[in-house]
Amino acid sequence: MDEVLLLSEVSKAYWRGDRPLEVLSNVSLHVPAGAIVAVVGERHEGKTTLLKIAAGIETPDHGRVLFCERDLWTLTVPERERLWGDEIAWTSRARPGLDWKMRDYVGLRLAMGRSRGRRGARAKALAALRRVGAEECGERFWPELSDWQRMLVGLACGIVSCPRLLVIDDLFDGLGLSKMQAAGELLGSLTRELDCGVLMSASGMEAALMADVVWLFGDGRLRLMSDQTSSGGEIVEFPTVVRGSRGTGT
Amino acid sequence: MQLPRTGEMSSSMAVLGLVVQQPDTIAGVALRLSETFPRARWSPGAAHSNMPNLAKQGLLRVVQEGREPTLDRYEATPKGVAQFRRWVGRSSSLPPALRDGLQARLEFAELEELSALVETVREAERDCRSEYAAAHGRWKAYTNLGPPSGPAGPERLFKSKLKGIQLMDEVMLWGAQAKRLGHLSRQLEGLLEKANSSFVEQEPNGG
Repeated sequence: MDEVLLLSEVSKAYWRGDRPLEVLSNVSLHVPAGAIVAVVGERHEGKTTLLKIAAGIETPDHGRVLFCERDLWTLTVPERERLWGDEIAWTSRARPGLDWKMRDYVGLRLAMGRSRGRRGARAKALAALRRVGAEECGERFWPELSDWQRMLVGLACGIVSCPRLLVIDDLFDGLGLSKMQAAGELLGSLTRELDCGVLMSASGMEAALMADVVWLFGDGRLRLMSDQTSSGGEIVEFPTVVRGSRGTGT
Repeated sequence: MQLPRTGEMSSSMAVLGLVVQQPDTIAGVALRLSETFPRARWSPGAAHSNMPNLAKQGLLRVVQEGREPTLDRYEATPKGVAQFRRWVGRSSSLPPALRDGLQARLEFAELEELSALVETVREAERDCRSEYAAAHGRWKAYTNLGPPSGPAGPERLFKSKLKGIQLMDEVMLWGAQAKRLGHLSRQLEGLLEKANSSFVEQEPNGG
């Protein structure tokens, strides 16, 4: 698998008065193309900081952030901004700052960057909304949407530029297990289709079910829980059932 | 057979369930027991000891004698099937038992044992993460397989869906346990650090 993102020994601290508060301590992880990597941890522990650094939105104090083998922090500002507009996408649960129709909100980043024009951006936004099954949201405003539709709009924002790296912050929290499964299936198919790498954060273990790699985050450190990218998973037998009346599958 | 007094499944109930599911020999049930409940950690002889015992209680019967006792084929009697179905369908009014060794150690540990306790928790957390990885792998393999191929009757689909739910539940259980132990380990590390620094502070005066 091609490596889309590599974080190497990244540290970050914020100053609280005269004391540094370390939120990331020598954190390393990688995101292969076509894989979903989940970082699970409590709220307000620093997951969003980690994701912002991975997306090139925030600078690390130490360590390197390589996107497709390019060090994000050795690039010029315009080069980084171009990456951020096209190849790296960020999406979260945050509501739009202005009253936008979702077709304009989803296409906003495209309309702002690289002179695509409003009409082109809107067409792409509608295509992205259609792809995630939220076409009917295009003409609606944020307050009119259900939690599920907001999640779909969030995903549409993420995929609208067909990025190579999709960074998703807490988008799936609070969905409940069955909707989480449906969201996982959708995200899995989008990841395969775009062949992009996905780095996502979640505060509950439920969201990690959709991931190929799961990290537990706490005290500024990452602990690897599971990596199913290299092994391809263990073979699991379907249940053996009463002979003759029910078949078995593998 | 005595019904268990806690929410846990006894090895005899698991053995009975496997024979209800499909008539089998002791050797066959022993193999299926380890395949179906790989993390239950019952004794390797659970099938060998339970099956003759369940037969004595009239819950199983030998339907075909083998060359040796472990190859005798057993099936569940109507009484055995009824008892097992009663257990499956029983509402879980029993309080869950908390016999966690770590809970007991937290109760009994002395200050000088704190460092060893931290290490025990770390080790338990590592074990849980490794169990999580295995369960997550089984879950991913299941989801990658998709629905059963070929003609799938409602019962087969039901079994397949139920398997998915069981696998998902297993992932969640190990994940929650690993998360809990990680939290516990960090709390104990903090306590140990505090205890060590208070020793350092006290040493010049006390020593």
